Amino acid sequence: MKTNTITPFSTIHTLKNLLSKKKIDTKEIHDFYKERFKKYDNEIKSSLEIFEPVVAGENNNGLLGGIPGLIKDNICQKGKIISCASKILQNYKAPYDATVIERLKKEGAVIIGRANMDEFAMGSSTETSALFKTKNPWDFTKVPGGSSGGSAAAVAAGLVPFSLGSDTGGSVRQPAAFCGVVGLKPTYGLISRYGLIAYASSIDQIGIFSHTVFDNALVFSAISGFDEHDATTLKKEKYDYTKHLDGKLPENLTIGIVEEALYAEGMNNEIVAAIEQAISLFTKKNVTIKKIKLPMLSYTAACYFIISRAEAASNLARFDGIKYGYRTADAKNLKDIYLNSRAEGFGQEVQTRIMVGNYVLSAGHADEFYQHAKIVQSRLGDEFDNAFKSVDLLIMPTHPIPAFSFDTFEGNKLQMDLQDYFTCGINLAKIPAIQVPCGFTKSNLPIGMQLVGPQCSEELLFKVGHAFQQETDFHLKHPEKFK
Amino acid sequence: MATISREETNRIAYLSYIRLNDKALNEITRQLGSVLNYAVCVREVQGTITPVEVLLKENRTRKDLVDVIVNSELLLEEVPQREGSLILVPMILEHS
Repeated sequence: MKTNTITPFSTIHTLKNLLSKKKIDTKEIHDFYKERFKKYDNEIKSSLEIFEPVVAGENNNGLLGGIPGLIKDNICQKGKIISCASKILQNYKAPYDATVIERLKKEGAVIIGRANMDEFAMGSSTETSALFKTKNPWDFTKVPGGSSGGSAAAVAAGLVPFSLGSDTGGSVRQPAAFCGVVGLKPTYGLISRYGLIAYASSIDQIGIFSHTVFDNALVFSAISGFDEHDATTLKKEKYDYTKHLDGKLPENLTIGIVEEALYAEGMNNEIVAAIEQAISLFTKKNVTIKKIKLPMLSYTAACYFIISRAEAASNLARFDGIKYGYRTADAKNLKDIYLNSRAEGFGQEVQTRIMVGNYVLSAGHADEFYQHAKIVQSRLGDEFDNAFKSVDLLIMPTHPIPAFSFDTFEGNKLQMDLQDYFTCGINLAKIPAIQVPCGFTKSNLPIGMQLVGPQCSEELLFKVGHAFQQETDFHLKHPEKFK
Repeated sequence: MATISREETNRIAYLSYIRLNDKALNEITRQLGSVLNYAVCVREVQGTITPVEVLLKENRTRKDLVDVIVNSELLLEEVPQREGSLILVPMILEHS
């Protein structure tokens, strides 16, 4: 849609055009979005803090010159609180900028605040935040997904044109699907994790939320690439991922459909129907569709539970009440500080995950759990490799059910954890996936699907996703209350 | 089938440096049992471990140079209790 002024759901692409034609200036953009936060964020509570003043970028002519973004509260912003939505870090100030923040600033982006999240990125609904719950902009009785629920809800409500989250088992893609926006989980190593507070280091990745695939590629161009501070980043130099986004599908494209995923037990019928419709659209565009089998898929959630918790147990050992963060007042000796600070500072979900991690790594159980999980991860990687010998990319559901009501899984946390069923395998295989809106339920809740590609295939994912958005209008629909 | 007792949960909690009260102990025992019962299905999968590697990866080392990335005073400002440039903790050795 072409306009001469900012609208609540303006894309970054549109804002950049308006800026370059001098129809608006950066101050108008910042005032506009700050006003949106003031007016609407009390209702959905997507942010933990809106900065006053905003943190201005260093280069108005950069890729994101003057464009505001919201940052998940597990990514360090120098001098700002980084709480991970946990009592244990509630007042902790980051002593340095994460590499992604440095890069956003260099490209002129304006950091507008900190987004709510599940505590330490552990959850699928943002209900485990120690501070407050975030609501889904499409229906205030529903969760926004998680763990990056605040980042997703803010973009969906038109409070900001892009945001960053982190994705360890689906924490960008699932909330993006629940909120009807685009969400990218890149190849492991393509976005630096320096300054991201670790949950499970071998599978954590920073991801991007936006209204469109094009905008997502733009932000990715700004923040991806090699970083000497993160030894796991890949030797990829800065690249413009938007340059081949012409709205056309690549020639001779073959897409695989993972039947174990699309027709898995418990899949919501409306989600299946929406994805089938997307597949038929690709078929009409002369894309070859092939059925693909991924037998290891049925073990990936179990594998993810083990590997992520094991790494979390180690990563979160540093929060001991000594060096930083919350320290209990109830301690007579050093051990009391450890035991009580962690009991009072961590929420129950985080405590449980740390304990699962220590259990599966302990003598007598490591062989039964951790070693077998690593075997599943190896075989899953092989299955994806084999699949990509015969197809260019895969379509999989992002979520088995649409956004659910608060406290739905209160008595059954395992079912909550299984919301990652289709997403966590992508993290384990270290490959990229982009969640794209592909429909709505009868009760007007968004539906999403993920396009999954081999390592470093982001450009192809953006091209196919962008072409899909030229043929569909799901990304142009927005929640009524925020228009 | 992994069955977790309250005693076992308490042991793991202690290993994890988390003190649990009775209510939390009951709840977490139930949750641990539920997750581990599900996760134990990985035992059905046989094979060898070959790490999932990412393309373009290479071993990298940095030059061994002094580089002040973070000002130590900024770090000390975040310490729960300090005395000058020292982190304050309770006494860990008893007086004899």
